[in-house]
This record gives sequence, structure tokens and C-alpha cells, in this order.
Amino acid sequence: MAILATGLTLEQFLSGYAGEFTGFLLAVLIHTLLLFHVFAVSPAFFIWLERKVSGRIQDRLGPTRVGGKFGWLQSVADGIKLIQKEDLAPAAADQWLFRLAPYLALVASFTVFMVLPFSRGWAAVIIESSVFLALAIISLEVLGIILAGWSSGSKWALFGSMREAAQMVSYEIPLALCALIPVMAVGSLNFVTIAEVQSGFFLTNWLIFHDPFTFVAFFVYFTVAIASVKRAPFDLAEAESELVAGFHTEYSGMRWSYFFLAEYASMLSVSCVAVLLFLGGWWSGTGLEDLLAPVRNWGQNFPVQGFSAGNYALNLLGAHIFLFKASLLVTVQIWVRWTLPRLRIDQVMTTCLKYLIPISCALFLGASLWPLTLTTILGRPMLLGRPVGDRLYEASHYSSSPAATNVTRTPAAEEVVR
Amino acid sequence: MTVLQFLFAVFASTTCLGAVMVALTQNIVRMAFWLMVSVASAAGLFFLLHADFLAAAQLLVYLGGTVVILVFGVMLTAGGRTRSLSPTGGETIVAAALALSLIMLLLFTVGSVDWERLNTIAKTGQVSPTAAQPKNEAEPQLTESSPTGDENSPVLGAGRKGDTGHALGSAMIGFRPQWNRENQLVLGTGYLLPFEIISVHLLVVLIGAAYLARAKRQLPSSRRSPDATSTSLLWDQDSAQLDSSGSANPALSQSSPVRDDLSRSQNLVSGTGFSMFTSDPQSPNSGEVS
Repeated sequence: MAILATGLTLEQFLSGYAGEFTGFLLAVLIHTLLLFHVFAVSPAFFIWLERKVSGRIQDRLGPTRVGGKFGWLQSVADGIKLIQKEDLAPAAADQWLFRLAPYLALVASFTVFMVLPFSRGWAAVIIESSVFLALAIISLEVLGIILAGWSSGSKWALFGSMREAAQMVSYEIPLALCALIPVMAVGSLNFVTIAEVQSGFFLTNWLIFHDPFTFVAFFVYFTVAIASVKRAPFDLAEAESELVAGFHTEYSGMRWSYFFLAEYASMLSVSCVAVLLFLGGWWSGTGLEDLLAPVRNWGQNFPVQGFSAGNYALNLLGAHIFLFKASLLVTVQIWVRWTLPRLRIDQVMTTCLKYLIPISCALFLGASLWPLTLTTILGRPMLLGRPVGDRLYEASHYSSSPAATNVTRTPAAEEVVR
Repeated sequence: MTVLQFLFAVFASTTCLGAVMVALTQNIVRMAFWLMVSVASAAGLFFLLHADFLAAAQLLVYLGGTVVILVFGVMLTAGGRTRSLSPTGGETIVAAALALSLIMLLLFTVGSVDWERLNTIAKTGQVSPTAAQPKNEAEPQLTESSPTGDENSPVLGAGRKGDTGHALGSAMIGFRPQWNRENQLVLGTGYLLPFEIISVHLLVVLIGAAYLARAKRQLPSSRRSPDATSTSLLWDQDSAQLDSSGSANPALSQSSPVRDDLSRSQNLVSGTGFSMFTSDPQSPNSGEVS
């Protein structure tokens, strides 16, 4: 649960006013609603962005007619169109699974946002092994796609889902290995800790610049992430030129759009993971936040007890920086899609099994030897900046739920709890 | 009813519902779906117990791994007999005997646990029921200022709710302090050796699977028999054909390399590499090779 300024979670805060059960339900509702906005609004924006970017790359304008100058209402118009469409299911389909499968993909891609922190303490669920959990959930979206392809009762859909399954099962391995490299550099599986460690100047503190291996690992991670959200050049699951539309050939209307919602949300979530692990999380990388740190103490218990306006403002700034970085990475994914041609399925598997897995294994080995080598030669574990361990100690104050650790509570906060 | 009890009721009932539906459903893919429900709810139960690492591992290994493999197997054997299952009389008897013995085992296990003692441990963090006595000063304790402080365990982060990762990691490398029945802190055995043994086992399995899934090499003179389709997953016929045209029959492959490539890519597109769609013994692929 998100942490308020005084070291209370939102749940504890609400429980102080409304009782345990109601407080819990309210906290869950608030978190779910906020996350659902990120989950549902960002795909609408990215679909519009994809159209504009692809238009520019192909030397045309993209949508211009709907919604004024930039065609910004295009996604809304599409949404209205999709809602109106008839919800068809083929006669050969396994009706029950066919109708269920889009929701499975949707739920899996939504659940990742549950463990992603958007700013200091701003996560729906703060747990210690959140990186591990996020990777586990990212790999679950494939289940909905396999079931969709199988239950459609169509050859093309089955081929698409089989390819997706083969691709996802292979690409999970380098994805996890590359995510493990920054985890090993920090020594924590907690997204919040990993992001807090990267505060300050970007060249010394961001984990992508931690050592040469993390630098390469970022690019390997990003390649694999594109494959794991089945975007071109790895979009074999829906390869239009070969498989009609792949796994969603038989879908129409809202169920079809759920797959796209899930895909674009997954693009954002893997980018968020990349930003948290490599690109400094919600820190701007200029050290500006260190100057602004006193602001966190402003407006304590304003407007209500247990809430701090200054802290909220800084967290809001952090969340904007975080989402901006993640959106930049999504833009790169779009750019890649409209620049590179699609690989063949055997080339996709070769890329993963023969190149990406050995590369990520070598990176993992190198990243584990790097601090040892530096300590032996230079006497310090890093080339630039303060050792991660120092920063880790400071960061660990912010990186867990206050109910679990003994964060000092103000008397006012205690009062709210009672 | 507290929040925890409510959530426990939800997850426990969906776990059981999923398990029962796996047994009752006839269609294999629907079975896989219910298995997913059951396994995911079990992960929810682990989260409720603040065993976050275990829950994530449950999701990754059981839900993400096993079910994908299960669905793979189902799809490659789909059609015909395996599409829906109805056990014969003998199978029902054997299954019932197995299920009964499993239930007996579980009941005996539940009955033999000293729940009173476990409850005391959970409440006081001490092993013996007489836990009220103050603890020895010499016992290792982390200081109050430490962010991962915990009054009972010297393992880093062991006191944090849900932080089972640190404790598991320490135990993995051999540092597993625990309270014995005399309320003393002793160093238990670690799990490094079992872990390594399992890793080597898995490596052996991996190599064995790669060997089995490898395309079968043919003798130069032998015709490719219609039922020689190997059961590997995706490209068995293509790779077999490549093998035979590359090594076994060089003249043919030299005469028609372009055509060979074309048919390969057509196979990938049309998917004749799938064994489930190659019921036709004279598929264009095998005909060309022979």
C-alpha cells in the first residue's frame, strides 16, 4: 500500500478513520482505480502515438481528421467503434474459453502495475521480492494468448499462439538474466530500493552506468522486452503477412481490443521495469531532488493529519519523471517496430537461443566479477561515485512498508492510527 | 471477520474449486485452465502468509512454466482420444485408491503437528512454550537503528513482513540460524549442496531433452517412412529434411537448393512442421526428400 508522508500506509490511514475492513476496502479501491487509469489511458495515448510516429516514419501525416490538429481523438473514436461491434464467436470455437481468454491476458498485464512503484512510496503493493514477482507476472500474459489461439478453433490462431508460446518460453530466460544484473549490483529484489539507490547525478548513480556489463545488459533487456511483448520485429504471434492476424484472427469488438489494451499496457510495464532497473527510476538524474529535499518537510499534516503537501508535490514530480522516461522507451519500441522488418520464426528462436542467452549469461558472469576485480585493483568497488552499499543503507529507510519496520512515527500519526 | 480471514476464505475456496474442477472436467485445455486457477489461488495463500518469494516462485514455476508446457503437450496431442478424457473402470479404482491414500497421508500429517506449540511460536517468536522468560543478553541481536532490525533472528531482513528473500538467500549459502527446542540459537545446515545437485540434475535433463528432440539422422538409402515423424515441437520435419538433404543426399540438395529453401519457408508459414497436422502420410515435404 502506498506510503503517506508520516510513515503510514494508505490502508492504515483510512483504517484510522473508517475501521479496519472499510479502510482496507477503500484503500484497495483507490489503488485499483488509480492504477486502472494508468493501465487504460496510457494505451489510448500510445495507440495514437503509434499512428502518428508510424505516419511520420513513412513520410505521411497519420490521423489528422478526428479531434482537431493532431488527431488526438482518434483513439476515442476507435474505442466507440469497437464497443459497437458485434461480439462474435466462431461455431468451431470452445465458446467458454474463447470468451474468457482476453480477460486472462488483460488481468496478467494489469497485475504487473500492482508492484511497480511510481515514486517514493507510491506503489500499490510494496514487497521485498517485487522484481521477481513482476518478472513472474510478465511471463503470464502468454497463457491468455495460448488459450485464445487454441479455443478459436482456427488454424491461423493456433499457429500464432504456438509461436507466441515458443517465443515467450525462450525469451523469459534472457529477460530474467538481464533483470538479475542490476538486482545483483544493488543486492535487493525490491523495486523501491533499486530506484532509491539511483538518486543523484545520472552518470555516477544510474545503474546503466554502474559498470560496462549493466550498460550492455540494458540493451539486451530492451531487445528481449520487445520480444516478450510480441512487438515487431518479433511479432510472429500475429504476423499479418503469414497468419491473417495470428492468435486474434477470430476475435472482434471489445474482446479484440482487450488484447491490444493488454499489449500496449505491457509495452509500458516492461519499459517501467527498464526505467526502474537501469535508468534511475523516478529521479531526474540531475541531483535537483537533493536540493529540493527540504520541501518534503513543508506542509506537514496539511490538509489532513498524516498527509504532507510538500512531500506529495515532490512525489508527484517524481511520478511525472518516471512516466516520462517510460513513455520515451515506449516511443523507442514504436520506432523500432516501424523501422525493422519482421524476422522469421526460426530467426527469432536463433536470436534468442544462440545469441541472447549466451550474451546474457556472459554479462551476468562479468557483472558478478566486476566489483571483485575493481576491489582488488583499485581498492573500491566502483569506478565513479559512492559505493552502492552506502546508498543502499540510506535507501532502505524508504523501501519497505512502515508497518513492518520501525519507522519513527510522529505523535500525530499515532493518533490517526488510534 | 477480519480482512485476512476474508481473503483466506476467498483464496482457499478458489484453490479447492480449481482442484475439484480439474478432476471433474473432461476437456484437457479446460482442465489446464482450472489448474491455473488452483495454482494461482495457492500463490495468493502464500502472499497472505507473507511468503512473497515463495508466492512469486509459485507463479513463475507452476503457473508460468508447468502450465505452458501442459498446454503445449495438450495442443500437440489434441484431436482424437486425448481431446476429452473419460477414465475406464480400472483407472477409476486405481485413482480412487491413490486419492484415498493421499488423503490419509494428509490427515495423519495434520494430526501429528503440535499446533499449540506452533501457535506459541507464532505469537511470541520463541520455540518453547515457556517463552515469557527474558532472553539471554548474549543472543545475537540487530540494533534498533538498523532498518532491517528484528528481535529474534540474526538473518538480515528476517523480521520484515514478507521479506523471505533474504532469509532464503542466507539459508541457500549455508547460513541458517534457528532456535532449537532448548531455546538456543544454532546454525542449521544450509541448502547449497542440495541446490547444486538439483542444478546438475536439471542440466542433465536439459541435455537429454535436447538429444531426444534433435532431428533423427537417416541412413542414405532408407526411405523416410510415413510414420517417422518425430514428436519434437516445432520444426522437426524441416530440420530432418535439412539433415537428409544436406548430409544424406548431397546430389539432390545441390540440384535444388532454392526449391529446398522455398519449401522450408513454406513449411514454416503453413506449419506442416507441426506433427498434429501431418496425419497425411504423403506430405509434400517427405515426398520431395524421397
